[in-house]
Amino acid sequence: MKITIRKMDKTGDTAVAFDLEKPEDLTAARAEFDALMKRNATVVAFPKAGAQGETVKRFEDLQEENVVVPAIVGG
Amino acid sequence: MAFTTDFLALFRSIVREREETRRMTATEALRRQLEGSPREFVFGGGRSRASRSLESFFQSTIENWRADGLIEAADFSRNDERDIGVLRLHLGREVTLEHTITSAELTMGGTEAVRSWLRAVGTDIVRVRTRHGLPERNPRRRVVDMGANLDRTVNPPLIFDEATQVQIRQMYGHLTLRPGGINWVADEAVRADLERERREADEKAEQLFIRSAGEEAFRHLEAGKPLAVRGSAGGKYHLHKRSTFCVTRLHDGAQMCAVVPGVPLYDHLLGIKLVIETDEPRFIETANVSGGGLMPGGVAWVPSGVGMMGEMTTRHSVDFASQYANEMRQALDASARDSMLYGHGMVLITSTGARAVNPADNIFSSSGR
Repeated sequence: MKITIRKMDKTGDTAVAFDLEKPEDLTAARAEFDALMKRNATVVAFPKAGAQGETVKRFEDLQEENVVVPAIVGG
Repeated sequence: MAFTTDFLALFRSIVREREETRRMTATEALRRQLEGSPREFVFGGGRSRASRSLESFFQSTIENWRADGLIEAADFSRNDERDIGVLRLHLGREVTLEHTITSAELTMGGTEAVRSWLRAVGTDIVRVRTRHGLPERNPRRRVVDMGANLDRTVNPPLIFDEATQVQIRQMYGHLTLRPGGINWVADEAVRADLERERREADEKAEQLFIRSAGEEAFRHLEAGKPLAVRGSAGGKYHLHKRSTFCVTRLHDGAQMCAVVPGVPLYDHLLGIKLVIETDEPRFIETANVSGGGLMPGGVAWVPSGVGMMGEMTTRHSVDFASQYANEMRQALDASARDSMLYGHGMVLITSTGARAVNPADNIFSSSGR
């Protein structure tokens, strides 16, 4: 499965694509996901663009489209 | 300014009557118990330093509002029939605002109740002025404040790096008044580059918003309308296109503020929307709250008017409201079923439990007063 992780940042967002069939991509994607979890980011997975999203706590639940919201802070 | 009534004498008289009731005894005992450190009740004393301090605080607050250009005049009166004090504020252009404080609040909360009440009134003044198109503050004073804020933000105010610029835009971008005397970027070419990058980032964020939330939602916000958002735990919210206090909790009208740091506005809006929709407890834990009264699910709001706490986060509210409501039920006997607590909203304590009351409702008639 091919997945895209879009991380919100000051440029709008940075998209990184992974092909999970490839071992090197799988490793990289898992490392990326773990790093995001450690930073308390919220990862929301969309089965496809425009569909209802669901928060993801496990790497296995990532979907085709995934949006990463950096940890929110009280304003 | 017309300030027609002796505030302190008025409340002394209210409180003397209240002190004679069993309810007063019970609630005062509870207040002391919850606060942990018993202290002299201020309204009944009259002679105490706290009483003079209260009077001074009340008058200085009114005077500050007037000096800030928030009000033109104020008067305070007592409504015997409803057993309340009424503060009438004249904001200008025939716009008036009326707030009340009940004897129950005063007897239970003392000075803290008045302080909390005045804070809530102050917030409401700004809201009403905005709604009626009245200027938010005395413009001259606002410029001074802006300058002071910026001085604190950047010292010395030289050339900002990109991250700082994003941060400053998030903090001040919603204000129409541009601070003067600040070199945002020294070089015109650098400024143009940054402006282009900012536009590109904004466009990218808008695209991500549309991709994730839909074009209709985007157009809705662009039209200046609030976007309805349903929380994962069932809460209902409105999302507004602004960087600060962008969420209104519909249950009680509270303004909630959490931000996604370091991203363009539409990323921020999408981020908040997604967190609410998929992890509402995290949003509630994180957001700061202004105004409002009742928690989702009907849990009693912390009655800040009772003087237990001042500014609070939602996390405090949830824990404290549960504790408070339970202790109130235990402490008050059946004769106290009409007791009221006042925070930013109201909670009606009955013999069977606590019930949320819309502050706009006439709770006095429903409680038999």
